[in-house]
Order: sequence, then structure tokens, then C-alpha cells
Amino acid sequence: MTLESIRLRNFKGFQNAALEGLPRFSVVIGANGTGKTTLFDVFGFLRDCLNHNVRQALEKRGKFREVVSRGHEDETIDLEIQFRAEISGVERLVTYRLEIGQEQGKPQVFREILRYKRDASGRPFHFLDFTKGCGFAITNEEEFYKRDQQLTIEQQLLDSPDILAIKGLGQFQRFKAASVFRQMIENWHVSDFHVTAARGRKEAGYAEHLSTDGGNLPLVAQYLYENHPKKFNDILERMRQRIPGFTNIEAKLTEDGHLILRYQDGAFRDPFIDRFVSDGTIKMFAYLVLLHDPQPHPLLCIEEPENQLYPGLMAELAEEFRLYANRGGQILASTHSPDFLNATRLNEVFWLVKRNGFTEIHRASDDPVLCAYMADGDQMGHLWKQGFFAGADPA
Amino acid sequence: MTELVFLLEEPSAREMLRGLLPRILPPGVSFRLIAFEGKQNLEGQLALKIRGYRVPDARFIVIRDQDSGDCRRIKAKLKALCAGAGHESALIRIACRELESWYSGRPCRRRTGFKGARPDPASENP
Ligand SMILES: Nc1ncnc2c1ncn2[C@@H]1O[C@H](COP(=O)(O)OP(=O)(O)OP(=O)(O)O)[C@@H](O)[C@H]1O
Ligand SMILES: [Mg+2]
Repeated sequence: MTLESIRLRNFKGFQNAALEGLPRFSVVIGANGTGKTTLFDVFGFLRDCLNHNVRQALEKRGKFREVVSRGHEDETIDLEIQFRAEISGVERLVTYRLEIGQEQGKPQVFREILRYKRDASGRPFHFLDFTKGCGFAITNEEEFYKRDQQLTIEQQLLDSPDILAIKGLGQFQRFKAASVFRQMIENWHVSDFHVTAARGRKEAGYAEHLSTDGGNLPLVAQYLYENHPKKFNDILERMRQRIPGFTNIEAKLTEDGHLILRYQDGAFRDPFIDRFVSDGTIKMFAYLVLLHDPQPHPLLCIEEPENQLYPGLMAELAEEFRLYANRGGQILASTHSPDFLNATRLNEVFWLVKRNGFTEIHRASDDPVLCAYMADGDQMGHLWKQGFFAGADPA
Repeated sequence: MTELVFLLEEPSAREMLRGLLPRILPPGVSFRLIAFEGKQNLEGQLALKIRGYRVPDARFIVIRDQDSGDCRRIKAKLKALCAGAGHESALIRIACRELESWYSGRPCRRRTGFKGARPDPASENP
């Protein structure tokens, strides 16, 4: 599954904007408050809609009137996500569209559509189409490739007009595209790592994936050590290459049932407990744990991965992200670091510009000046600092 | 529309010119300020920036502090870099003291400042 584009209308600062042609690893830059976190939250919002309902997802964000773009309160909030996925053996470009409006002060799904084309020339076909809790879904999607096959349309009534049809439909296996999309949203992950959260002793327990702030780092380390020793050793090897003196990490169980990470420096006999280890060491370890997850997230959003890391490590970090993407994940990172941007390629970079209160999204590879310089051997971070990302600087 | 492209040693020069240029440039002359991170970075990136610049007829002005170096030698070196990038006509200005002192009009040689929008080769320093 590959996320292809995100189109937004009236979602906070994105009154009308689109992020298109996403590669498997992409980076978003932009001044403070231009909407990087908001962009990631599109998926958080969809997940809350899916796990609960649209009303609750909005409430968590200050209700409809805070989420809808200022001055556009009478319009709908529209999210359109496009992705490529294999459905019954054929790769399809699928579009999921969600329009949310208010009726008598209550948020409702005004329209929810899942569509894709039968072939390159044809019109997109709606596999699922709901308005305010009622609509239809196609139940024999797998027969779609047979041109003249009769498709079975099933009318459905959802329990309430504020729940998503992709959630409310029973027997999920029958709805292929909806199921793929749902999986992406359910397994989407945002990493906003904080060393302070990761440090220290943690109540022992079981965790396979690193949490958003990295607070369960010792638990995941323990899990990898016990269940995926090869992965764990691979991570240690990479640490050794990047952190001078580093030799080993172990998760130690304390008598009162807590886990604590201990870092071994080759120069000393006794390991350091993580309270006395540098921020960058912990962060690098956390990223490796995140990126070498045996089950990569279909979509991983990473906030400012550069913090606390030595600038010289940026190229390797970017390369780790690309490797993760090659293993089947997809990464969308935000950054304020020219060093990190220097490690990116032309087609990986997008930048946000705020104009009259709302955000525009630009793609580096659409910009002739950036293209020309990059073709001549320049670096994205230099070009950014030198002012070639038009409108990116607050001034 | 003429575009003047200033290639500067550091961001502080950019901030200074950002305030100054709109007041002294005549209408019809636009400008772009490209700030580097020190002399090394300026010298390393200069040719790349000039060569790839996409605006036809843009005129380049390189401004660098003299500091301890030999003014003429520095200038010749920068000139050669510009020529190598196909812009021999680029104007090189070495601010003999701190560039900012130009603006504040304190010591040194204010005559090296611009006499107007059009760089006049006859007034080159030193
Ligand atoms: N309903 C809305 N309509 C218009 N703009 C909004 C709305 N809600 C929030 N915003 C704007 O979006 C901004 C939040 O942007 P966000 O947190 O995504 O920025 P960011 O790019 O992550 O910034 P940083 O680099 O500081 O983390 C707010 O500062 C506000 O200006
Ligand atoms: Mg943010």
C-alpha cells in the first residue's frame, strides 16, 4: 500500500491544499505554525473517526468550529486520501473521500465515498457511497475485473449519521479497498519522540511497537531482544557505528518489576543506567528500534527526527528512513534542520507556506529553480537556507 | 525588469540589505539576497549559485568582508569563480571593514557603496 496524495478543504489551516505525488519517504518543511503537525493529524483524525465516531474525533480537537477553517464554518470539512493498493491481484489507485458537515449543531458524515477505476480509461466506480448514515456498498468487489460482471449492490443503514461506513460495514473481508484503507488508518503511527519520556525505569510489560513519545522504549527493546535477536543485534551494530565508544545495550529487570536500559561503553567495565546516558544515544537507539520494527507501519509520521542528533548522522538517518520505506513502510517526516534536509533528494521534499492565514503546499520537484540547482549537484538544505524555497521563510 | 542578485557572506549582511535596498533601488529593479555561512561556504557555493541561476539578465554582486586577507587577492579569486560560472561581469565588492559599518556610515570607505541601482564598473574598488 502506498499513500499517493492527500487533498484537504477546510481542515484547520488547510483551507484548500493538496500534497500530491508522495514518494515512500518524504519530508515536509515550513515555518512554525504552517501546519506540519496538522498534516500528520489528518491521519490521527481519521483514526479517531474510525475508532469512535466523527463527533468524538471533532470533540477531541475542540469541536467542529475549531477544526473547520476560520471563516468557512458554513462549509464542509473535506478529506480526500488517495492510495495505491493491490486489490484481488490488480494494483488500483483508490480514492477515499470524506465530507463532514453540521446539521442542527451536530456533526455528520455528509458524504463518504470509496472509488477506483475499472481500467485506465474508465470512470471511477463507487464501491461505497454513503450520505448521513445511509448508502450502499459493493459486496463482490473481487469480480470487478470481469468487465460485464454484475456487481452486487447492497443498501445499508448505519447506526448513526456520524459513524464511518468503513467502520460500520460488517464482514470486512468482503470489502477489499475499504479493508486496505482501514488497515492503513489503524496502523498509522506518529512518532514525536521525547528523550525524557523514554528515559528511566518502566513498569515491566509487553510492547511490540514504540509508542508515540517513546515512553515504552525499554519494553520494546526487551521484546526485540527476546523475540527477534537478529534484529536486535543488527540495531546494536548500527549503534556501534554511530556512537563513539558504544558497545552494548541491555534491558535489566529490577527486583520490583521494572525494566531499565543499561548502556555499555567499551572504555568502562560497568554499564551506565540510562539516566546517565546522552540524549542523542537514547534517541538514536529509539529510532533504530522504531525503524527496525519487524512489522513496519504502513504509514509512519515522524516529527523533527533531527533533535539531539549529531549533524553528521543526518545522512544515515535519512538512509534508515529509505530502507524502512523499502521494507514496506512509508514515511512522512517534518523537520526544521537544514542538515537533515541536505540528506534528502529533490523528489522527497515538500514545503508549506502560509498566505493570508491558510497554508499552501509546494513540491520541490515542481520548482524549476530547485530542479536546476539539484541537477547541478546542490543540496536541499543549502538551497533552503539560501532562500530558494519561495515563501518558506517567515520574513 | 532588472534583477540584482547579491551573494553575501553571512545572514547579517542579508538583514542589512533587506532594509536598505528597497529604499535606494529605483522602480523596475528587483533583488534577491543569497546569504551563505561564512567565507568558505560563499567561495564553495558561488559558482554553483551563479551557474544555475534561472533569471535571464540577472546581474550578480558578490559582497565579502576583507577581514585579514589581501583585498586584491580575495577579489581576484572571487572574480575567477564568477568567470568560471560564465559571469565575468559579476561585480565584486570587498567591504574593507565590517560590512555593517558601511550602512551605519562609520569608518572606512563609503565610496565603495553603490551609487545607484546599476553597478558602475568604473567605480570598482579598490
Ligand atoms: N480552524 C483553523 N483555521 C485556520 N487556521 C487554523 C485553525 N486551527 C489551527 N490553525 C492554525 O494552525 C496552526 C497550527 O499549525 P501546526 O501546529 O500544524 O504547525 P507546525 O507546522 O507543526 O508548527 P511547528 O513547527 O511550530 O511545530 C495554528 O497556529 C493556527 O495558526
Ligand atoms: Mg508541529
